[in-house]
Amino acid sequence: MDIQTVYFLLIGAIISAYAILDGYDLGVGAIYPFLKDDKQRSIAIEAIAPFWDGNEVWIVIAGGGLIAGFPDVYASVFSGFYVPVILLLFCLIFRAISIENRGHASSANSVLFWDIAFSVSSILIAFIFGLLVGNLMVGVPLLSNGNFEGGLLALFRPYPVIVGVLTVVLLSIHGIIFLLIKVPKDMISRLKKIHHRMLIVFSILFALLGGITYKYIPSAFLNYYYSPVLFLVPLMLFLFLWLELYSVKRSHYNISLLHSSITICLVLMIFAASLYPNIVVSSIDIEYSLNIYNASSSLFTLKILLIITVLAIPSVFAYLITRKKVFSGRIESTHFYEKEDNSI
Amino acid sequence: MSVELLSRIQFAMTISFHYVFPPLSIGLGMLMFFFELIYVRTNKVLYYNLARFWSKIFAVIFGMGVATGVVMEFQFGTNWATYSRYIGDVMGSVLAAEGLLAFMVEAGFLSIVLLGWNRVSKKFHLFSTFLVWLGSMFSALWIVIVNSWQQTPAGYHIVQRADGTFRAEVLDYVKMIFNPSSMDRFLHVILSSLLCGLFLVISIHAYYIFKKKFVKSSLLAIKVASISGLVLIILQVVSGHHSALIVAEHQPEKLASFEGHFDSNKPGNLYLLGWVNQDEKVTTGLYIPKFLSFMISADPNMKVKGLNDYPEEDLPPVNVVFQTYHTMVALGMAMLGVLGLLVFSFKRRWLLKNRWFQLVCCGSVLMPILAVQLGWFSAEIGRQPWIVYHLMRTKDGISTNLTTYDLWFSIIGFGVIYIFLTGLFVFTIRRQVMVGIKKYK
Repeated sequence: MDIQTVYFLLIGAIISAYAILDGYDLGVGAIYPFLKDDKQRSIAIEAIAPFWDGNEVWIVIAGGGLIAGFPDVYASVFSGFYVPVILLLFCLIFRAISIENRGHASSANSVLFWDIAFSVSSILIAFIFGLLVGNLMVGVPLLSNGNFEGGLLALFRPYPVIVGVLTVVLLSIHGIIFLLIKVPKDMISRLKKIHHRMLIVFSILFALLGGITYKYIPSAFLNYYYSPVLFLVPLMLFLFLWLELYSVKRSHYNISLLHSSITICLVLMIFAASLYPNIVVSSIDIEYSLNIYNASSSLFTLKILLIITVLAIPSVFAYLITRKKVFSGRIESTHFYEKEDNSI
Repeated sequence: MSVELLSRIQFAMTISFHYVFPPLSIGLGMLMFFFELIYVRTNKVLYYNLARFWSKIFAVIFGMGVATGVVMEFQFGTNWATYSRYIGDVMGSVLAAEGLLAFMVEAGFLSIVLLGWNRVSKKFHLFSTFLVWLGSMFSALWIVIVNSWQQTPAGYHIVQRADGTFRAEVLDYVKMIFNPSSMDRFLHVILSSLLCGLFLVISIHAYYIFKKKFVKSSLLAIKVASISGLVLIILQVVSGHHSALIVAEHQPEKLASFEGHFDSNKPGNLYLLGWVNQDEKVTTGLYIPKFLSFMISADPNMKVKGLNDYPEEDLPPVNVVFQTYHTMVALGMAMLGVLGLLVFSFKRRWLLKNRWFQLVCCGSVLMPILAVQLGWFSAEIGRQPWIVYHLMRTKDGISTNLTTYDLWFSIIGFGVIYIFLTGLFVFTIRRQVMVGIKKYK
């Protein structure tokens, strides 16, 4: 395996880590409207309070990793998707602020305001990520100079929009399972019901998307024909969806979280396997596409990056495990935020 | 307005807004660690309560820093795509290292600092506070390295790529990271950041003394902050001088802009106040003759290379650089004065008796915040018209696919959000200050 492929896989791993970690708190935001009352929403916010900012670090790492390893992809994608990316940034700012302020809000109106801000921004973030991935799947009007041709509307095509919705549903499922681990027992049966329905919606959407891809983007299956073993990935996806359903039914929520994390990885792997070795496919001329070879940094830099990553891995696990240990257990009453502040 | 100008306005706006918060949190991180350390060593609960009080304000500031910081990294791609393609190989790895080796430690242990008071042992909590502080300083280190490479590029070579374009690639990592200006500038940035946090503490506790609330713990806090502050500001004067020497050596036209020095055949004067007329190439004002030459070479008659030696299109807007630089220096001196007064008046208890002095201390946090901004302006505007010094011009670094509509959308959006955030920030800090220092133990 060449070093560009290794680095491609590494970026994939970082994006997976982001999707799994920030995924559950984004998912909590996405299913927020389904929660019954103010108390349930307070508990949901408290469940993610110790984790969300640490999770968001991963998007910064993914961005840094991308500019370091594939600077041309970084430059073309973020300037090409200018408006959606700026919207994404607005949402990331708003979401961070709304989580902090929701915990301290005093009047019912401000609680409602921050609730809406939190939920809408979470859904939009998940949707925009899906939209970007969807566009990469269909191919974008990439010119030889690395610019996209055509404006914003070119990005809101049916296929990417479906991928956007799929992402919201996928992360919702993940978020529900995280809540199942954290919330008091009386919230569980309702969440389980929502989880069940979301899984069905996801399976239908995913099968639909597979069909559309097969019909309209045949090139996405090239790698699968070269190495048919890849067909195992979508099969495993359905296997893990089923396992997840089963473990939720048996109330083994920690195992369900593992299942849904693997599901997210598998979905990303399906996309990656369809694109590789390309990253940004040009719909104008295939020659203009950015792949892991013509868009990568020098081999020397890639090697240094791999060394930095290996150095960082122990500390990553140390902090993930410590954090999980310190903040384990169900939330029985709302106690993280000090409520006496509200008198002011 | 052109896409280039709008992109520059947007970058200046988003980065200036962001750059209020990290310095404050780096400085507060140190004081929280000090308070907690004193508590762990002496078991005095006053310090424990102080640490917890400040950890809440820290949370608000840190949150603002993270929320506005994500924008920075993505802007390189959205608005400066050509620049990103050019420098990605060199600077990407430094940005990646910032995320993996610094920011993650910082954000990862933050939740233990904020929410873990009753969940971990006090030694482990102290250790977490230390890691958050250390992580924030390491973040600053990597970011300053990235910026310093733009100022004084080193350890690279220019390579032509298959499509005919050029880019910088790393030749020597050590040289790239320890480029001529990075360590001096890092020291300067860290000292200024620590001062920002210290002055915030002094300001708010001076307010409490003014209001005759929490007087005992406020005096303690001010004592810790002003003694460490006096040490730091003296170090800062030395570090500032040393940074100027580096500028003189590696970016002579920037140094000449700092002092509005035009004529290469003359020794340089050091201005206290002044005005630069770039069209007529004269600088007027109050100055110490030949002192610039003396400062950079210990020889008052040494000739200093002046702005006349450079083509007009290679020069920054000199007066802006001159004014921002001189105001920064003046603010530094004012901070030295306030800290000196504070430390030498402990015995005479001025702070308790003199209402005016209390008010001055109360507003003093504005000095380091303004100084940090102006210092940044003079460093960044002083490098213009280069985005990478002597390698790439700012106008050549922009994304070439954007329209002015795109830019207006983002600028207005950021503008509205930042105004909202400012209001919210002031409101939240005010609320925390009103709640005051509670007795947790």
